[in-house]
Amino acid sequence: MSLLSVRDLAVSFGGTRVLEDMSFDIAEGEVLGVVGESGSGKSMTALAIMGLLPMGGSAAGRIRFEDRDLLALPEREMQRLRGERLAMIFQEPMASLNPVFTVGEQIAEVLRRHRGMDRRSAHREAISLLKLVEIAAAERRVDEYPHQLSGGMRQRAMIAIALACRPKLLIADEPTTALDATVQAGILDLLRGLRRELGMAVLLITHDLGVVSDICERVVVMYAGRVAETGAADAIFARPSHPYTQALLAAIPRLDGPIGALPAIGGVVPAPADFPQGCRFAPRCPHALPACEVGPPALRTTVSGTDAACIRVQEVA
Amino acid sequence: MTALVQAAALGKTFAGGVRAVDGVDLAIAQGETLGLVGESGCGKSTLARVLIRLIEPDAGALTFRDRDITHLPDRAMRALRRDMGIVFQDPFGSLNPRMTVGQLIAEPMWIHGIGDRAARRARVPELLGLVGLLPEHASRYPHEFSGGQRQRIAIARALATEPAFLVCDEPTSALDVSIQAQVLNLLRDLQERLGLACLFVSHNLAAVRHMAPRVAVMYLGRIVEEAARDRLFAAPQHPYTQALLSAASEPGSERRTRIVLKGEVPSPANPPSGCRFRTRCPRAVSRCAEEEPQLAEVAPGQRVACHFPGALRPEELSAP
Ligand SMILES: Nc1ncnc2c1ncn2[C@@H]1O[C@H](COP(=O)(O)OP(=O)(O)OP(=O)(O)O)[C@@H](O)[C@H]1O
Ligand SMILES: Nc1ncnc2c1ncn2[C@@H]1O[C@H](COP(=O)(O)OP(=O)(O)OP(=O)(O)O)[C@@H](O)[C@H]1O
Ligand code: SF4
Ligand code: SF4
Ligand SMILES: [Mg+2]
Ligand SMILES: [Mg+2]
Repeated sequence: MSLLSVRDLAVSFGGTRVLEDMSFDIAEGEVLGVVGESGSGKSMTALAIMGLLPMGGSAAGRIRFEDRDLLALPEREMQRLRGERLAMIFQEPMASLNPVFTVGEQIAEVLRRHRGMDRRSAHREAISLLKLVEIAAAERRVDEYPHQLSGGMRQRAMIAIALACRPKLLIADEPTTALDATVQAGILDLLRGLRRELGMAVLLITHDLGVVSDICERVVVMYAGRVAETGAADAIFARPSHPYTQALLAAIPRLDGPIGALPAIGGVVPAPADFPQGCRFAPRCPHALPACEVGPPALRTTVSGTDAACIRVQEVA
Repeated sequence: MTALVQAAALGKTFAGGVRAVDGVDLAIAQGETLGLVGESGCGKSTLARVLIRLIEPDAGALTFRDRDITHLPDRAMRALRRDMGIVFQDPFGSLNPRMTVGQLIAEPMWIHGIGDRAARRARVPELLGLVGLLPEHASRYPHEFSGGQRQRIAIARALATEPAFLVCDEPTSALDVSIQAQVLNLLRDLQERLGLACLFVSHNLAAVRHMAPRVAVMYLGRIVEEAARDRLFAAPQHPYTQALLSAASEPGSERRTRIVLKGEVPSPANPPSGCRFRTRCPRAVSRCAEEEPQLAEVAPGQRVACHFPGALRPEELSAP
């Protein structure tokens, strides 16, 4: 049985649906990547799971975590869950670290509240968590304020706070986007190691396909608020089936291979108010037919074993 | 080959003693594109701006078309400016929201007294066409455009005065992956058609490889390696270049063996003695702390600032 199971998740703001028909599972200890361009609904997926949608946003569908139905859970219980079994790392670490408390105080707070530790042992545990996320001189850093840390260290401190409650599922929303490649490499190695050591599942949100390819077993590719393709990462990268996944992978400049004009995707991603009623990729898709504009295509299994939301997937894959 | 833009021991120190650019030598020929890579804060943007004197250098010398412009007075500099353009990272912040696209594109011509009003107006649709936009876009405002389109507007504006030298500072970093390719293609095409010399700044190694036949790598205010693209990507000689390349991940390729650097980037206000990379270099020895390595040719066209250039060996990588 999976740890998290999301079925037909939809998120709306007033009358505007920004996300719909989102379904996926995460098994214990698994790393699932969610990729997609800006505005495709990645953060809304994460925030709906955490019960932290912004004002005016509402979620529908089913989110089952362990044996609980998260969308039906009272806020009090949701709060407890967030501290204990579910944790999230936000994209902008400065926005989610409190500037007036030291890093150690912020970790200790979680430990006292959720693991009932006293002050002394919480401080000790904070140091070992900072060591776990490979912050050098943890004994000194534990008493420093967020502004005294570099970007990479802050991101690690965020991870340490998220790990303080030993979550079963860690949701990481663009945890490395703001970081340099050499720092990012370290954080990804760290996540990989932690997941092995702690058996923690990770939902990794990013727009960087390289990051996904590096660390995820399975991927959900989103386009304009819907799933375009989902499946094993190897299969998606080796043999993408959905025209959008194909176009996206072709458009990325590479570190090896030929140099020349890149096969760019014409046009732009539509905004939620302008979502086409049929396949959302149709206005930009080289394979589009009138039939594509009838309604959103359902996911169907492809030859490479992935699932793609495209009516012509048999012909174009 | 004479250089269009040439820097010799160029430097810029900000208040607080931050040596953002510290002794940079480089040359860009007419019609040539140089790529500049390096991590956040290493001084790429500062160097890019110093080269077109949007920031005043405070050390070394800068020449443009064989003329020393290091301390050229503002008046004389203004006349030269039409020969230099810049495209910034942020397509949202760099365009005045109260001006129409037509006004934005005509403005640089007006500033430089190019043509009369009618001639400038006639040129706007041409420039829009050059960057793949339509004549009717001239009467619209920037907020009516997507990020990629705004970057096209910024490029049209930078090209309005027909510059010989274009600085592109992370021109696609704020754009979605599917839009990045459009803008990179446009820039490549313009370089070729207009014979532009270009400094292409990015932290995205693959984008730089795509755009620039020659690439320079910067660390803490200095250029540590410079070589033809193929050479740099296939056989990097500076330990930092090797670490940087090993950290890049590509969708679908085997994961590289990473060279994980120890420690943090030191403060540019107080760089390490000798080689600036020594605090993180797996190969550092005592000489590296005492003597600053100078850029020296190690192979034809490949210059490296390291006392011990060459590929890192496995045993160096596993050392603590
Ligand atoms: N508070 C809000 N009110 C109305 N619409 C919103 C709100 N927050 C987000 N949206 C819309 O929801 C859609 C999905 O947003 P989301 O933040 O999930 O995108 P994302 O995939 O995380 O993008 P990015 O890569 O830019 O972070 C977008 O179209 C966005 O404009
Ligand atoms: N106006 C300024 N005043 C003081 N310090 C500055 C100023 N501009 C830049 N710096 C400092 O100079 C150094 C180099 O900055 P620069 O913006 O050139 O780096 P960069 O390589 O472009 O980084 P990024 O990849 O983040 O854009 C940094 O330490 C930065 O904090
Ligand atoms: S359903 Fe039609 S428009 Fe959509 S991706 Fe498939 S072929 Fe293209
Ligand atoms: S000079 Fe020494 S410290 Fe600097 S890069 Fe070369 S080996 Fe490393
Ligand atoms: Mg987001
Ligand atoms: Mg910069």
